[in-house]
Amino acid sequence: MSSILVSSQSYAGGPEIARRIAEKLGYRFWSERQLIDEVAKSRAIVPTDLRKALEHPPSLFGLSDVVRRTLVAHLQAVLAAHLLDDSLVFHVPYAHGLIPGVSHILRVRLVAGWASRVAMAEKIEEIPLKKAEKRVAHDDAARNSVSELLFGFTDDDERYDMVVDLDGRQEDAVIEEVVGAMQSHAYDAMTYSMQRLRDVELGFRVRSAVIDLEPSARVEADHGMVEIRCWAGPSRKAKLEAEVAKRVGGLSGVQGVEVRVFDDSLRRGWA
Amino acid sequence: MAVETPNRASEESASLSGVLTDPGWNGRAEYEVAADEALRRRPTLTVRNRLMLMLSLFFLLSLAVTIWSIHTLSTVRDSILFLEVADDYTSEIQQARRYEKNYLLYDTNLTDALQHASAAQRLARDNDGKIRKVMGTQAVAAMHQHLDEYHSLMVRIGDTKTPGTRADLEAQIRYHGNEAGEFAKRFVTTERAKVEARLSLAQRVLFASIGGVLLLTVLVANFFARRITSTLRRFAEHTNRIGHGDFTPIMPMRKYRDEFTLLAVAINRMVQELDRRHQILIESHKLRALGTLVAGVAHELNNPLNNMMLTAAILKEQYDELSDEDKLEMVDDLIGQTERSRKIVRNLLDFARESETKLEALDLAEIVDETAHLLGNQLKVKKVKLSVVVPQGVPPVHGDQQLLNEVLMNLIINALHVVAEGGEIKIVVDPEREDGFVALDVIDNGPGIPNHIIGRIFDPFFTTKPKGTGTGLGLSVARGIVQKLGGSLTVASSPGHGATFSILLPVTGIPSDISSRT
Amino acid sequence: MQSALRILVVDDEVIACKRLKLSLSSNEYTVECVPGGAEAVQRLESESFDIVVTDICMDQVDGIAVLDAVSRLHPQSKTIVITGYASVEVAREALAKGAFDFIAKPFQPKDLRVIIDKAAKEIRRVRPKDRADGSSGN
Repeated sequence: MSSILVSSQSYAGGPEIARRIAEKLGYRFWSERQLIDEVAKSRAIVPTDLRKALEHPPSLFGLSDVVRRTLVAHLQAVLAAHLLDDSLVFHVPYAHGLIPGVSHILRVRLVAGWASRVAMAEKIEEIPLKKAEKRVAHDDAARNSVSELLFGFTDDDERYDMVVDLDGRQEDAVIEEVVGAMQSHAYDAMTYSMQRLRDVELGFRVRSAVIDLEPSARVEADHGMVEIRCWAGPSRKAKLEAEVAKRVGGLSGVQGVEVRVFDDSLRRGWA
Repeated sequence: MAVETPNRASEESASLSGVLTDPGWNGRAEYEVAADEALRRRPTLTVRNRLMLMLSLFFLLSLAVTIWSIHTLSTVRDSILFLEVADDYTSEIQQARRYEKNYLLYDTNLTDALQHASAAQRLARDNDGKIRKVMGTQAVAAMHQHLDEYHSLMVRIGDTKTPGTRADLEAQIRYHGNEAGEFAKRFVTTERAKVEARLSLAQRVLFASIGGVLLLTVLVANFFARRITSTLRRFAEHTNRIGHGDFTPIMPMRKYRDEFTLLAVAINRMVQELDRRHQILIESHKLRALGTLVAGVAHELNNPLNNMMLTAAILKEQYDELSDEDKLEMVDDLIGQTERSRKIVRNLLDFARESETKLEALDLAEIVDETAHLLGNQLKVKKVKLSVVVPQGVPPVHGDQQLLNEVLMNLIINALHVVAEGGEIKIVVDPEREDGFVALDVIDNGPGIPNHIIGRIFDPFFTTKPKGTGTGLGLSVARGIVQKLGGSLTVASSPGHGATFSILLPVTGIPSDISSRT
Repeated sequence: MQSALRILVVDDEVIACKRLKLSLSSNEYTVECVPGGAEAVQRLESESFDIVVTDICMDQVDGIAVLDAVSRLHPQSKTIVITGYASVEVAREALAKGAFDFIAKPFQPKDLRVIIDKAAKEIRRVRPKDRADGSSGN
């Protein structure tokens, strides 16, 4: 039941390596596009919006923060549900933030040197060097700002379980390294980590279910006990509590619900 | 240690705050406002004004010298003119005497003598005032008398033919003529001496004034240089202190405001702002320390929780099978483990609690125990051995329990970071080292502190840890606290032989004016 | 009827030890408790246990050392690791060192029993005729 989330820098050749890792381990592979399409289908969302939510840096005319958070919440719910079902390899950005630490889920980051990324950008996009350099730099900056917005930290190596530098290495060796890690038993699924993943999945599912009521909602689940914290004005408090509890109570796997609405008349606690 | 509800604690501290709160912590803003006011309240005497004052003094001095010189010159000129008159007078007298002699010896013309004598008389009468000034009224009166006598005697001798009477008159003429001549001589000598004296005085005054101006210039230059450099040096010292984390404002040292006052006020504002930020950073440092603690405490807390969970679950599952005795034992365990949990939580809260500084007599052994216990898990995780040596009969120290816990916590966490896995940290309490103080050493067997950084380790923001892992405030905060409590925190280390941090804390009973010691 | 499997519980919390012994002992399992890693290693050197349940964080000899001893002395035994502070890193380290499963404090006896039953099933699957060579030393 172990799974791998592979995040790669743009123009590092990540998707292909992720696909081959899946092949080697016999796990099912999901590309970013497949995941987005799946999320879009199940939640009736435009796929372009989801792509924007992951790739476009925050800007005045872009997606609002609330919309972006909502879209990503749905994506996290779908992703977690799949992780609970099967052994998978996902190629998605922000593996470090999309799924919190679960010991049997390996979150890998593939990085490559600047020069090789620029070269690949030149080749793939058929653009001149200067433009390619700009593109790669822009991608990195966008990743960091989106990561900061969604999860509160930048897209750094330290947040991943494993970082593999692709520069000057054979693809096979890289694949072998990741596969070797998976076979070390460290990432084996066990009672505790499965419980943790069930709680993570439940948390995301609950959040995805209530986020249209209150985008500030934060959810923690522990052995099926769900705690929802959100920030709202005092006038909405009672109604919001009742509504959230009603919606969440009906979800499968929920053993108990606790809704806590904090007064946000002074500031948005979650912003 | 008494258990306090937060409410009670705040009430108590509120009632004590008037006496015991430390202005360094809570009265900071007021203190700074006071400094600001004290700096500004002084009367203004700018460096510019001082300079102007000095220059006017210079001007006045040279004006006086000049006026005096002009006056001297004009009097000398008068004297010289007067001397000419005196010369004329003298020569008239001499002429009169010569003709008088010729008349008496060869019986020549007496009219010439009379003419000269009258001319002398006229000169004397015309310049009577001036001569009086020089020679005095009596002498001048005498001169007039002699001259008049001389003239009238000559007139009389011209009319007298009697030889006896003539001889008598002759003697009188000689006497009075001589007197008038002598007077003229004396008069000229006196006047000349006077002119000479005045000229030489003028010379000396000018020399003296050159010297005076030179001396004054040196003094003034020196004064300004000292005034400016000493102020700048004070400011430099002050900024140095800021660098070491001392945020006391500059207090006025002179009686007057000047350009430096504005600078001092500006620096104080800056210090205030720095201090505010520093406080915020200290808070975040505390949170960080709390973060490292929480990981350990979560573990610590999970042990009694687990014991309770297991006990309660079994009590429920096997309720019917268990003997009353077993049940009682289990319930006792539940109570005991709840108590244990409460203690853990309270320890953590004590560390995190924000409260007024509360000075009291404290047992160091208890503080060491408490802190060591709070950090027990950190030590366990790193397999570091902590040994504590507290001799019997350590006198109570004067301090704030929470602050001392924080100091010790910072020192132990610091040691914990530098010792290798399986290393050793020793805490030694020594009441004998210095009179009136109790010493506490935190000794680690880590790599020691390199000589080139040992002088900086108490500086705020100095850290040897990788970027983002340490705030660099632990030791600086610890030293700040200890100094506020009237003690000191020092370090001794040699590379390769670990480090020893020594705290000296005042023994209770010594009246320590802590509030004034900032 | 299969013979009972032997369980060694290692925890420096005396109360936890007592309660686990009480709640795990059954027809299927005989339970022995030791209050520390050193004692556990000592016992493991002289005897084999089918299942070892050990706390990770203990003074001197910790759960990882016990885990190492089990892997070294009785590779066929299953070790279940208890941790007071469950972190992803601790879990992975335990699993990489050969732990069978992992449980975080605080837990209920039934949670642990589920894991022990799972381990027992695994043991019996590998050694179907354990009546003959099952519990006593190797």
